[in-house]
Amino acid sequence: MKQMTWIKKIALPAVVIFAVLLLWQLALLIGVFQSSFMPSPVQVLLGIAELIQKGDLLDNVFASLFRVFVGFALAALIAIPAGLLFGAYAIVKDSFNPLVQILRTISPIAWIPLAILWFGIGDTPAIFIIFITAFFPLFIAVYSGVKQVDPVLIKAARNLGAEGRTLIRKVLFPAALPHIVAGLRISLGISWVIIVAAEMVGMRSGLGYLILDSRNFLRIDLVIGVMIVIGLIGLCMDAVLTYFEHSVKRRWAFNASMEGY
Amino acid sequence: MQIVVDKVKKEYVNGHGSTLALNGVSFEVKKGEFFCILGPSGCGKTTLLNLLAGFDNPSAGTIHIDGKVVLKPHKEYVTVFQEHSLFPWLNSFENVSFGLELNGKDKAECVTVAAKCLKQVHLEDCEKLFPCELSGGMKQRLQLARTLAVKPKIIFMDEPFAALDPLMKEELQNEILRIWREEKLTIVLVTHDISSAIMLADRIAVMSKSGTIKEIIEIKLARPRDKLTMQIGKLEKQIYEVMASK
Repeated sequence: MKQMTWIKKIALPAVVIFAVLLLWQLALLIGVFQSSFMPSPVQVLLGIAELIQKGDLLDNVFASLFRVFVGFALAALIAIPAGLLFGAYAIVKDSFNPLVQILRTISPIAWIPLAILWFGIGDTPAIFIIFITAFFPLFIAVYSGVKQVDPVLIKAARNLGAEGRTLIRKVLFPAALPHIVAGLRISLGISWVIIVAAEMVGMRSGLGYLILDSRNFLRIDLVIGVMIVIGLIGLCMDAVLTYFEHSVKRRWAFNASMEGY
Repeated sequence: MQIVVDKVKKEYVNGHGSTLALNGVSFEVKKGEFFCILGPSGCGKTTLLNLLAGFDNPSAGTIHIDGKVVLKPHKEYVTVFQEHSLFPWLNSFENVSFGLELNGKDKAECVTVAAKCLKQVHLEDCEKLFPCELSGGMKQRLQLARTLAVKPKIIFMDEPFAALDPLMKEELQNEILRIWREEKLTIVLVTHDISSAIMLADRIAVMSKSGTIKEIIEIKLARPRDKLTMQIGKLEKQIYEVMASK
């Protein structure tokens, strides 16, 4: 049984990845690509090693991560209370909903020119873009989480004397927490996607910038190397938050409450 | 009279028109009485309980409790729900002290009162367990403990036995009767189960599908009641006939 999950979780994915690398190498051998625009897997690996050695990779990884985490944290700080208020008070929702719906359909990328004009160069415009990126998915997740709270819990809490802020803090927030954590995971994922685009357009550092810079020197091995690093970091971030999400859901007995009665 | 319900109507308006859930309901409940509202599903009995507890307001008519009009929930008149009303992120102890903390009781008092209430429903060994780790019957007892902790004057119960097997149901019925006697509570219990109503109630209000009370029947039998006696059988038949009559 344990061996089966090991095979499923590690061995099979490894086989698939190895197969893709093999096909890549094979395609090069039979000349599908013009070789100057497509390095081999080994060249890419050497490229990554070179970036690590020169220190470029780590510096730019930290630059990107820093922007993502600051923007994401600010977004969470505002989106969670705002979403709770939206879910708790119909009047707030009715007043702000059209504005929110308009803003959330604007691609965060479209804000880049404004962000650069407003905040100059450096980390601030990137943090602003990530804030915009992370805010809406999280906000919507919190709001819909509150809407899905079992009305009987709210009734019971009100009956015991919880109203207004106390109701939000002691019932709506904890009851919606599994949805909030899922929202955090999703918005962090999107932030990681958008930061690369933002850094390509207007930044002088970060993984997005590193890709663009490598292309300008026609170092396609480095371009692909950085892409792979971006993917691996994204995978790690998602794994951490998925673990967090599952532990909250387990504690909140999302599944158990289905079979409990 | 502690509870006075006077010509209460409740109408729900939706896209297609409106439904009359309650159509002129009047009754009174004495302090310390065990009052059952009995009726088939869809007769408006849960609507009525929601109005009594203040979760919703009547479209017409009035409800007075202790001389005051009921407009919103009150912590002295507390509802025990069918199921799922425990806070899943809190353990048994925290669920019970939830209402105490809200009402500004200090830590030491929360601990004493919560421990006493858990003991009252025989869950003193389950303090640290979460609701998902409890059986259906234990969950209902925990709800009862959470309710008792805030020292209510009236407990409203909405089909508390609906999700329980017959054995657990009987156990919970006995617990409720014991606590009702010990705490000198007024209890209003809503159910569709004739035999539960007979085993528990001082009086039973039988509701019709059209949202009215057909008849209020007094059960004069002494407690503890034995459900296998002729008298209970007769009562059951009599109430069944009232329920089934047009």
